[in-house]
Amino acid sequence: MKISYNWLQSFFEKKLPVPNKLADLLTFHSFEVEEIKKCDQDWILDIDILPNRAHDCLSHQGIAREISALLKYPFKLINYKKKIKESKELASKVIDIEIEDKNLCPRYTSRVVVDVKIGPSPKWIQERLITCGLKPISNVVDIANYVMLETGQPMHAFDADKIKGNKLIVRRAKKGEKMVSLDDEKYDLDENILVIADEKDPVCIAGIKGGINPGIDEKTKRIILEAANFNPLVIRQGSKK
Amino acid sequence: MSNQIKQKAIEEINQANDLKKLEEIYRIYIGRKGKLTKVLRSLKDLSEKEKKEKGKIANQIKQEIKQMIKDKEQKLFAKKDVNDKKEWIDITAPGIKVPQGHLHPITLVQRQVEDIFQSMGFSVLDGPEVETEHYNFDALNVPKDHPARDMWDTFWLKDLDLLLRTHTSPMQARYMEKNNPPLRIIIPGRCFRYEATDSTHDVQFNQFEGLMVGENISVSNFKAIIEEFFKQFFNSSDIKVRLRPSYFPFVEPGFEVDIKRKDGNWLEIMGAGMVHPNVFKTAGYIKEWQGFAFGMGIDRLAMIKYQIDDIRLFYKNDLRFLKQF
Repeated sequence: MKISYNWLQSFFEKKLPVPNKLADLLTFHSFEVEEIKKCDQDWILDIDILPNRAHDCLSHQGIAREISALLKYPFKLINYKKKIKESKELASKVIDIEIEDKNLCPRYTSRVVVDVKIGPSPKWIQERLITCGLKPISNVVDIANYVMLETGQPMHAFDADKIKGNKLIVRRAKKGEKMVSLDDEKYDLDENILVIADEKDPVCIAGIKGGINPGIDEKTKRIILEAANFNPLVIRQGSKK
Repeated sequence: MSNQIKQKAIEEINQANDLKKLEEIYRIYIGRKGKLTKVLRSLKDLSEKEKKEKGKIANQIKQEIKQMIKDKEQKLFAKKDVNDKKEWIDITAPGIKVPQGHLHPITLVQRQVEDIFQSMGFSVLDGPEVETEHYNFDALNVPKDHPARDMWDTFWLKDLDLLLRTHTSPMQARYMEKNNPPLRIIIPGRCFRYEATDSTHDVQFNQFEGLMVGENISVSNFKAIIEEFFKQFFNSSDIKVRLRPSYFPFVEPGFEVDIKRKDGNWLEIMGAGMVHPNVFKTAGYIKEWQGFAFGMGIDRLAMIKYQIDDIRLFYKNDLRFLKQF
């Protein structure tokens, strides 16, 4: 995974060792750093995180936590509560979530953001995404990716006004159902694939691909943000198909 | 009929001026499908009387032609001898030696590895190249649908529900099922990976697996043994070994082993670790044993030893390459 040096630094008040030293530290205690590359004002560390540590280290937070333990530097999560204003209105008024099988989706959380204006994201977010090898698309898509790179939790954004019946259902797909993804690929679905559906159709292949129908476009006003945990076996089998 | 054939044959025999031509004449007339042979064969359809009469003539002609060919042959031979005597042969000169085969570099390295480990009390074993999913993965703590399986790109033999082993590690499980510790083994052998080839990767490669299990075998035992191995292998007392953390599902903890080269750079050379308790459990061990396991590329050792920069050369069978060993 490509990890930004500056991003790591943002978790610490103390100055981190220089990139080369930091890479050695990780290589001898945790993971092999395969490449160190300068990128504008930043450095990219390409870290080979092996499957046994994927769950806690495939993110900037994860690597920062590892470094904190190795150097005994205090590590602080960024407190976003101070930065984001929340209204009293409940998200459940906009969207109803239904999970058919708890085993396949132990937890599904969502938030609704209203009065959204779609446009490019701030430059510093775009830069961090580019450093980590992602392409900036729009503020909503970028923030979902940004959160994933920082925390390791994948996110997905739907256009709330395109969800039929104001309802999202987590269920197995039915044989014969089809979905077109955001990148315009057609997928034939079957019962082995977990999907997020509105009242009528699948709108997202859980944990794998977003659908084009409720995708964000320049006219989007209200968005639903998804952060969910799915059964890893089902996702893995689905992604192989 | 027979007489016509006889005339033609005599004419041709007289004209023939070398042994090859004569041989051809023999084939045309009295060979297995020769003209005269055909006549002789056709006799069986005739009446008893005719058979006797014509048979006699035909046989006589056959004998005559045979004799003529023989005579002519001798003449030609004599002539040939005369020609040959013009060339000079030194029959006392030593003959050309039959080229002697020699061992492939991989075999040379494998034998050296075996010798070194045998001198340290390890037994050398052999295992099957076609494996079951159980021994290649499940018994080694790599469950189905575990992301760790992605670490090995596998050739599956789908119809048989088998696979080409991706490492020599399955023999750990096979051996431990049948033998109790203390044990010390190495298993050299060919392995297969379904991946794109480049100068350091090939779809087939040679590996050797090591396993040492006892009551209190530790990482320091491993480090000492492997350092001794490299000292003997590279014939140098100045070999430094270091361990870095890594992950292989069948060991805990797992490490990469680097050795220090003459130029001062560290070189990643093998993977190793302490055998995972799940592997012992699957093998049926009840008592708490501990031990280490490692896997090293024989091709890689050969590349370092002989300074070869492309692994694919080993299997190209280019004599210009092979003759250097």
